[in-house]
Amino acid sequence: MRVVSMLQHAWRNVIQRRRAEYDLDEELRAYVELLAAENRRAGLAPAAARRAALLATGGVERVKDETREAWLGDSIAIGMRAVRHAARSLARSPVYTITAVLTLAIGIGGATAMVTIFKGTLLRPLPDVGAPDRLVSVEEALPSGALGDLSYPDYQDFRDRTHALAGLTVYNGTPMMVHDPSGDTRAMVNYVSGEFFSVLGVQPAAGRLLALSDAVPHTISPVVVISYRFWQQHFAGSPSAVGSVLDVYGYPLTIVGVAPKGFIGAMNLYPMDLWIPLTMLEAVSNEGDPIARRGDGWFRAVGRLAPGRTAADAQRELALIMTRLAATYSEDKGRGVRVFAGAGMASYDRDEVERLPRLVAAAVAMVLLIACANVANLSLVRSTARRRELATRLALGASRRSLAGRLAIEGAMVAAFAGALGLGLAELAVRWTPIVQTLVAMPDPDLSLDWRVVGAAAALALGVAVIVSIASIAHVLRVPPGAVLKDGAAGAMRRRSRVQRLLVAGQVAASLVLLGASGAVFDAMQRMLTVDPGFDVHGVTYALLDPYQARRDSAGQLAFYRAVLARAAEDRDVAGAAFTTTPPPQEWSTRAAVFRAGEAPSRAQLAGHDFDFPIRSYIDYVSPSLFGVLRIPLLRGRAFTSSDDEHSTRVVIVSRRLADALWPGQNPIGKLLDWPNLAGAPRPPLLVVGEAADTKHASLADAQPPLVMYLPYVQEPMTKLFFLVRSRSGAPMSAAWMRRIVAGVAPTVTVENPRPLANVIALTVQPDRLASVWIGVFGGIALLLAAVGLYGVVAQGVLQRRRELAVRGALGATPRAIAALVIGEGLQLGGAGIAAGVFLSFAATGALRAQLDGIAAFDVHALAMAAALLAAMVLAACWLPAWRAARLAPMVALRID
Amino acid sequence: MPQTPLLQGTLDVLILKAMSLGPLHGLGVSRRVERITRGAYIVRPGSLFPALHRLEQRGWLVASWGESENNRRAKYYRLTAAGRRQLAADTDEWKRVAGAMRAALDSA
Repeated sequence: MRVVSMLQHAWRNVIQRRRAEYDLDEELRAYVELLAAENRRAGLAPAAARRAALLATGGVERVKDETREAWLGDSIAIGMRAVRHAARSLARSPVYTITAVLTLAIGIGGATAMVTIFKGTLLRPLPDVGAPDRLVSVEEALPSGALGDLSYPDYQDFRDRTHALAGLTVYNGTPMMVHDPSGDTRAMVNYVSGEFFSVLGVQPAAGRLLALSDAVPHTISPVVVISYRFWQQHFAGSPSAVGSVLDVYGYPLTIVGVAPKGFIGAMNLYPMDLWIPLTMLEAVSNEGDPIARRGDGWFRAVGRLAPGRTAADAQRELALIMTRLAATYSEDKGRGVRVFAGAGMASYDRDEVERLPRLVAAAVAMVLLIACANVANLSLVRSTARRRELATRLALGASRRSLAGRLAIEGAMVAAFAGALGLGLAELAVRWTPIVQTLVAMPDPDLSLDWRVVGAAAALALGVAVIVSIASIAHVLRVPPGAVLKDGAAGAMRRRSRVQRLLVAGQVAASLVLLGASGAVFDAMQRMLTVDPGFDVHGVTYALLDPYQARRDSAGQLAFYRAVLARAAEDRDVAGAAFTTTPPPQEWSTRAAVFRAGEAPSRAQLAGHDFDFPIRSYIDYVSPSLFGVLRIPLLRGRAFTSSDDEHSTRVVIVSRRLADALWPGQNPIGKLLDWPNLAGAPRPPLLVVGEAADTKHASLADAQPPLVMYLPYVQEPMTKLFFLVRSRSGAPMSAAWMRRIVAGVAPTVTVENPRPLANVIALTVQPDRLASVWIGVFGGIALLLAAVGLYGVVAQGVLQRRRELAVRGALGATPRAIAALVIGEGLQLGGAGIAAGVFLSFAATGALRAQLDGIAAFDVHALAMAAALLAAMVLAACWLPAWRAARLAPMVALRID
Repeated sequence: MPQTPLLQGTLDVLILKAMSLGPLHGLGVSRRVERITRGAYIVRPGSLFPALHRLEQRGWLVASWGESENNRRAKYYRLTAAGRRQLAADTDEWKRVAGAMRAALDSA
């Protein structure tokens, strides 16, 4: 009953407020009348009776106030009223409101979009695993400090000795060909240890998952688990898939089960299609035996924390185990171990995924700061314009607190609108492809709008609200009302303008830094794109050939490759055809330590310490015509010929930098190079027969051309090779042509992804290019905001000095002199900002260079351009107020207050 | 008589008691409280009206508009059943407290 009554009254006080106020007024009026009537009966005259009654009441308005305080829902009603007032006040200055909301929305929107991207990529847990927060990643730290993969024997030791981890599993992935009646497809195959699925906490969608018994070393266990998507695509989700046989690289594997929907393995960047026991890797593919040697980093590792243990516990324990391993085995000497909370990305993956978003986030943060400074400035200007209104309110008895409260609510409303609008902008932005392409380096990001994103937007809006409110309130709390009402334009404004000037100078500085940075990035991009890469890909088509059916028949493979080359060369339109393991956009994969002949260390010294040696070269197996097809100049010696075959001396062509590293200042031709292997018969030294120019794969992350040694592909059994063809006409040979050529030799071999090489290279620089565009866009926004801010301050300065300027005018100063005065003030401010910006740019460049190679230490060109742009902006911003000041008739100015 | 300061709880009980004989408007409540406390408590409007509204919100009083002595629209309050129960409970409590205090202060 009581609750009902309370609710009813609260409703009445809020919704039917006017009625309640009316009733209260009536009630008190009646009281006063009755009291007056009493007084009249006591003998007072009617006027005196009434006056006495009012006195006895003690201020009707105050009684009403006290009564209202007892009202339920009063605070809500007060709040609503304040909000309505604030809304009306904001509506009265639409320019301020719209400018402020838009400016802040851009800043908040950009920041929220970056939060979404970071959350969706770097913070993304592995999909469809059990309790992902209990998973940790384990990586080994090499003596150089770099982090890398684990070797199988190390994994066994960790697994057997750990207590902090309830389970540890190792895995890695590689593409393999899957053959079925419809043709060959390339699938990503995850080769995993037996406890992989149990450590990840995964249940099968059909059949069973791999178990420990499937991955016993040196046993054959021809089983495979397929992904849910693979199941849908190749078996239409039919239950008959389980138990059927899958041809992987020609090896029959029995499908024992299907992984759950959404499960892609343990690598967020590389979704997997198939899972096989790692003990089967050598049998299925030709990639070598992964479980043999300690110190051979083959695997990534994921562990599940034991109940009650933390990642820090695991780190301590594994580090201890590693110390003992390092002391026992020379291959592990000098190594450490790192345990990271969470699974899904190795630290080198993470660095790559973070690279561009971090840059753009820095730019966005700057824009947000500039936007806040701008709006703070605008708010200061606004409260100056309202100084009369505010002073009057103060004089009429409003408390400073209530005024400050009003202004705070206005600030909060602006921030709330900006936050909501910003959130909307962010959502649009993350769905826009150019952004996703630039900043999201992951196949399946989670860019949904969740509580973290909304929370970020709300937190930003809150921060902004505080800043804006403080800016407006600072004025209110300091100025005595009397002074303002008397004074007019001058006086109280001077104190505030110092803060404003600082803000504007800061904005100008920040804009300069942003513009300078984007200019530097742009310059680096241009240089990178125009620098001679050392090869020419125009008119070259390429595709991957994988005659895996002849995998164990090296002679057969060679015959295939030679036949393909011969057939291609027969075509009149073909200028040249070649094979290589690593065409230009491909990630360089194999690197090995090489030495001058006779200087190679023993196998024991080398095992596990490949990374410690200074000269590590990439290895490219090529056909003789490769240098011609890619137009890589040969600086010395000769290219391979058909006589450099599997029966002759082992020869090598070195890149210029490699020659310089091995034999500085000398002619490498005729010298011998050692490339030690760790198993099998020792490799004979290689004879250097040629020196090739350096090639540089275009990337901002890659400053120096790599060390490369080229070997004849016929001297080493190769399963797959890239087939490159240069056309005589300059128009790349078509995909159909390529397929025809290969089909003419062996119809069962698939030609994978035939396309022009130039397109592919263009794609790889796309993200960097887009990033530089984005940074430029933000720089432009910052410029605009700074311009608005500067204009505001200069205009206000003119207002402030109106009398002074008018007096000068009356005393004979020409309009031009007055304009010069105003512009001079603006230039001072802008100049200070630009100078500060130049200093800050040094720090910014330092940070940039840590992220992207190829940025010059001091890009004078970019900085000068940015400074010039800003100086022009400063002049433009000052022009209008100066012109107005010059045109003001002195008498008019002196009369206006 | 000197003005004894009124605690909020005290005022509430006095108002409820004042209403026990029938509906009253604001001034009437004030006068009756003055009378039944023999002049010890004079309730100022600044305390009276907040208290009346509070008691009304709690459901112990219910208000209606009627005509006052000088033919003017005035707000009349009267006790509800819940108000009567509350008055009875408060009366018992006060009597107990008063008795205890008297006993304590009268003893040697």
